[in-house]
Amino acid sequence: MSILKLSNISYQYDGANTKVLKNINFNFNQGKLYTIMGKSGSGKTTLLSIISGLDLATSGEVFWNEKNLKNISRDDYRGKGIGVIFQGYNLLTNATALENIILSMNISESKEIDKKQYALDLLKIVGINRETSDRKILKLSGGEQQRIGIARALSHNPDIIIADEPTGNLDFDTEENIMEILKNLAHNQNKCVIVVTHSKNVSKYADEVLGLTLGNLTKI
Amino acid sequence: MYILKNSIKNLFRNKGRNIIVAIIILSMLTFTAISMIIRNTTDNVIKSYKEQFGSEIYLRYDETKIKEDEKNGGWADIPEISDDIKIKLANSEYLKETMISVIFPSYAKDLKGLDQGKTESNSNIGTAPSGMEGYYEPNLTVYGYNTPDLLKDFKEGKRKITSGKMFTNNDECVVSEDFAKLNNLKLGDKINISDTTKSSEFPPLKLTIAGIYFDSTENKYGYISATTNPRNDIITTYETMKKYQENVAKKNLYTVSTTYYLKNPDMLKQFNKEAHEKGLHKNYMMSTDELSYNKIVKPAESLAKVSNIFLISVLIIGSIILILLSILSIRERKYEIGVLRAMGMKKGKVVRGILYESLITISVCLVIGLSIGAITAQPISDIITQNQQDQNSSFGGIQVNQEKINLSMSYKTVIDVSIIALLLAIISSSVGVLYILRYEPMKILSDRN
Repeated sequence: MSILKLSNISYQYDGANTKVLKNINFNFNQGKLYTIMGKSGSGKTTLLSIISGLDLATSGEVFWNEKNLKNISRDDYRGKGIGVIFQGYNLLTNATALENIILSMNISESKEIDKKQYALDLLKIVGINRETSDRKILKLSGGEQQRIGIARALSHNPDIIIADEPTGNLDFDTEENIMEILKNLAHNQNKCVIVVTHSKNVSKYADEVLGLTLGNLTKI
Repeated sequence: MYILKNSIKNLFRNKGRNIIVAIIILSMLTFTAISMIIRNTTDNVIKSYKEQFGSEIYLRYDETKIKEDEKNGGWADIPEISDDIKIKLANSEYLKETMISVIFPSYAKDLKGLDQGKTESNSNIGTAPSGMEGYYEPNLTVYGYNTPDLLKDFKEGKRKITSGKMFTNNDECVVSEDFAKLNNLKLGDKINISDTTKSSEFPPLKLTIAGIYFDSTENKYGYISATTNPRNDIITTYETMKKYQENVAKKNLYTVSTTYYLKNPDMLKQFNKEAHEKGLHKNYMMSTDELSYNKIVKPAESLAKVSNIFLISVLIIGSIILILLSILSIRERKYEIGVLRAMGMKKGKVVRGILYESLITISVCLVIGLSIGAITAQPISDIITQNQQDQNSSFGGIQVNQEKINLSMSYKTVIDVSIIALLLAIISSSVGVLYILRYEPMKILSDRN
């Protein structure tokens, strides 16, 4: 059974003549790492926004665990169903790493009793030590911020993890490290991990590589 | 609960922005508190004046009309108002009661008045006018009142019955302790009082002493004499005096004075109109006590006016600054909102978070603002009142020694300022809230990215 199903997804920007996404149909499964590749402007981030419930498709439906996103609260879906790792990190810059994770857990109404310890454990998994956990995001490097973004995406234990160019701003070593984390999440924790990238190096970690060309999503 | 905690943390996270907002709000609330304290206190002063004095009405010259007459050439016509009109006006439906009084400077050959025959002046007080041929110098003054209930000196405790009782029947009177002592008078004694004409042909006024009063009032006139010494006042009923004048003396011994008490201070205009319809000359008017009005109400009204203008200016300018500041900080605010929404926080909770931040800031500013306002309102009010007095005298206005207005913070002031604080909270968070309500999180974040 697929955890995420795209059914006839189309998207057209306001005022544009052509559709950037055209009748996309695809099933994503748990335990796999997918990469979606495509040129700049091909609609990768738009597709990701639709999958993550941050934007609405012009037509078509997204099903999460067979539930149509149109029929459920997209806030709940974002807060509980998926974890999003943004290219620009999108962390609260004046808050500490730890505060970002705990806040995400609060929003998703996490049942963890010791949220602080759970957050520290997550940060440790992604390679952030105790001292760095208490530093404000603004004072951390891009690599550290991206790791915190990953920890935040995992904080509410979602079924699906979506990453938009997660290594776009990082050096090769950090990229390797982060992709290993994501691969581990798919294979060892049975998550469905979808990574949008235009890096062939990133795609080598994928179980399935998808290409987005002229609005169509196809297996490569 | 986590929303409130996050809002509190957010206030410290964005110190720079919040300190500027807090300074603006604190300034606005402090000035608002000062203005409100002044306004509410002055409102109370005016209200209490109207309650205390506003219903007490006197007949006085209408200076505006008199000046108009003089402008049109010649002297203004100011006829004497007849006693009949004064009494007729007492029947007005607008009146609660009327005090009718008569003063009869008189002479009692068997009695001696305090200060009788004194011609020496002291350092402050002049000498009495010399007497005229064919007349006795008055050695006492008889006052007739229609009701003893309105006698101010007795109400205010300056005079107090110490023996016997206040007069209740005609031909009864009360005398002062000093006068009684000087003349060996006691309760029940009868005294004979005549007018001051040496060749008086009508019998004297006969009064029975019903009470003796302690008197602490002072000489209100510019010289010492038996008639200006208040201890020589003999007080009886108006009816006694009226009957004596009409039936015994058969000549005018006194003039009637009246003080009218309105049912409601707001009825002054209607009563004034009615008085003129009943025959009051156009150059007269019904008026409150202008001197006490100038002393009490005028400074209060001026202060209220100044504080209102001040309050409106502060609120308009402050609100504009707050809105501009919100617009300027929207970029930063937008990002926060976008991140929270992307993390799955519902619109309502984001709005709550922003409102909490504003409310916490405002609450702290409210407490500090009210405290500063309470401390500084009095000196500011004193300075404004003093400036107005100085201005008035420097431009040749009438110099009236205006009374100091004692300001205090009431519950009403606290409520008024709190309502304004709440409005400021709404204004300061409105821009952020509008963004949340209008845009999808991806739109907010992509704009920023």
